[in-house]
Amino acid sequence: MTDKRPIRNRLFPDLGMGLGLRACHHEHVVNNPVRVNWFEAITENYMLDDDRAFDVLLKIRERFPIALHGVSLSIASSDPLDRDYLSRLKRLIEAAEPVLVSDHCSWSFFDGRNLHDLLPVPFTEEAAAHVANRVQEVQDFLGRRILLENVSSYLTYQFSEMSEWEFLSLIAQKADCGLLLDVNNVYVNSVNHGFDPVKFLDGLPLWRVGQVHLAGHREKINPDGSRILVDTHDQPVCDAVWELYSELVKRTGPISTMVEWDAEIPSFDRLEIEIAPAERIRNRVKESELNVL
Amino acid sequence: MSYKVPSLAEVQSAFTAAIVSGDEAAVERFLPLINESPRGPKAFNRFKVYADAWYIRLEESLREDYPQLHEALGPKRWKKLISAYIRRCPSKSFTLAHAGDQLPEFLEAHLDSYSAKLWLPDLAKLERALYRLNSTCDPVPWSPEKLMLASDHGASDVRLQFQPGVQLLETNWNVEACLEKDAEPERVSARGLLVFRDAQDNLLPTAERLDEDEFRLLKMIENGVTLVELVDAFDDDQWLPNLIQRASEGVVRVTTK
Repeated sequence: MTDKRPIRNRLFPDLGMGLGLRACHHEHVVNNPVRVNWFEAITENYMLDDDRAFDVLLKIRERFPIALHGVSLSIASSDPLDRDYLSRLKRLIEAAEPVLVSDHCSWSFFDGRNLHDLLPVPFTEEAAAHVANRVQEVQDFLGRRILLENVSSYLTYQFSEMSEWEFLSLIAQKADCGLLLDVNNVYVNSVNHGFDPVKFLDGLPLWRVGQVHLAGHREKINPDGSRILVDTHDQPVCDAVWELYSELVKRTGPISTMVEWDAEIPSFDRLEIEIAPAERIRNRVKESELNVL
Repeated sequence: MSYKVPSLAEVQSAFTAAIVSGDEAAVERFLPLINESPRGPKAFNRFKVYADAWYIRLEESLREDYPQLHEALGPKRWKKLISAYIRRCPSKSFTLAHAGDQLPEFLEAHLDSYSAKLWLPDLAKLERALYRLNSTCDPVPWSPEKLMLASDHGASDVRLQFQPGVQLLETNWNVEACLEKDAEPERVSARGLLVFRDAQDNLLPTAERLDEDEFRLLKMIENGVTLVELVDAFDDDQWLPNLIQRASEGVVRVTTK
């Protein structure tokens, strides 16, 4: 059954241009005018009891819409969902009132151990059903729709039964959730696993995409001369990713977009420059020209 | 030959074992699950991105939390310690901020394997106290008037506690000297070390050595003592000026039933 609908029926508002909120920029953002429309905060950085960062988030929330983006929901883990984590998340959502709440289509925990990574899932019917059920459970608990992000990956499994975009589409439809599309991850995976990244975009129910990530990556050369792209978030967005973003926006129209930068983080001013091309690309597209997605 | 498709739990078990154990056999068991194209990277190189990232991410986080311990051990012993620690004390928290919570006790239990410096575990405890302190919300100073007002509830209803992030350590090494580079700690007679952000001094992170009486007072407050219990525990009222001072510094707060 197709899950494609007109883009005007999309599930989430367009917040404009955003940036990832990082602790080193807290003071700047609190005390200065900035040229972005919204911020994405890493959920787990604001979930600890008596934590100073939480107060900063609330201050920023007074001036900007916030998206909460988690890294430890571990939605695809075979471990049970972590009830304490979900309760903390719910309390944070009630306090910060984010416009968007997201996490990754991946697993981090196994047997209670957190590997602190976004590990890849086999693209099987079993895994899709497992993830979709858990997304539904999370959404029921939180009382709101969440978005799942496609992750960068360096391996795929022999026994996968479908493509990554088919896998994500299946979960999104079954769970009736949103998607956070990381365009850099699509590009990185297309190189690492040899597929056409535009086919990835065209395979998704884009009306479910509520947020876009852009980021930089690095090339790792193996001893045998083969190469792998690694999603490092410590580089400017490359031209190929901008081109792919342009292809996406032609299909979706203006959509909440942000740049992630997590290592060797530059000044806030530099990040404002980094996000600027996305604004120009968005402005070129008029929503009236959009097709059914 | 038939091929049994592994369950999600089996895949995750094999992947975790391959990453964490560093054991060749565990890696060999996982690699056949990975796609490998003739022209692309080998399965091992694909897996290795994850294995490397696991160690690097945890090591960087721990080095950030324990900079002086890293300095005191030197790179080789640090690597040996961290490699053992992350395998034997797995991170179970949703945040990397807790990944180093057990490092001081792990080091204490296995110090012989890493160093002859007996003060290293106490240095690690001080660094843990500082990184917790630095992420905690700002302390609120309690003025003498506010204390008086709270105590109007009746001495048995008034409970004294530490403010969030404040910690009381016990160590006869003056490990606080290590916070300045190249300083070796010495043995001292006073065992109490109070770690707090001083509300009277721009919230500066402070590690202050205590005399025995104040250590005893603060130990009782750490455990959540009532005013009545304090009055009973001390022969005179010398604790009161200390309490007022610590409340104004943002160390102590008052709760009522």
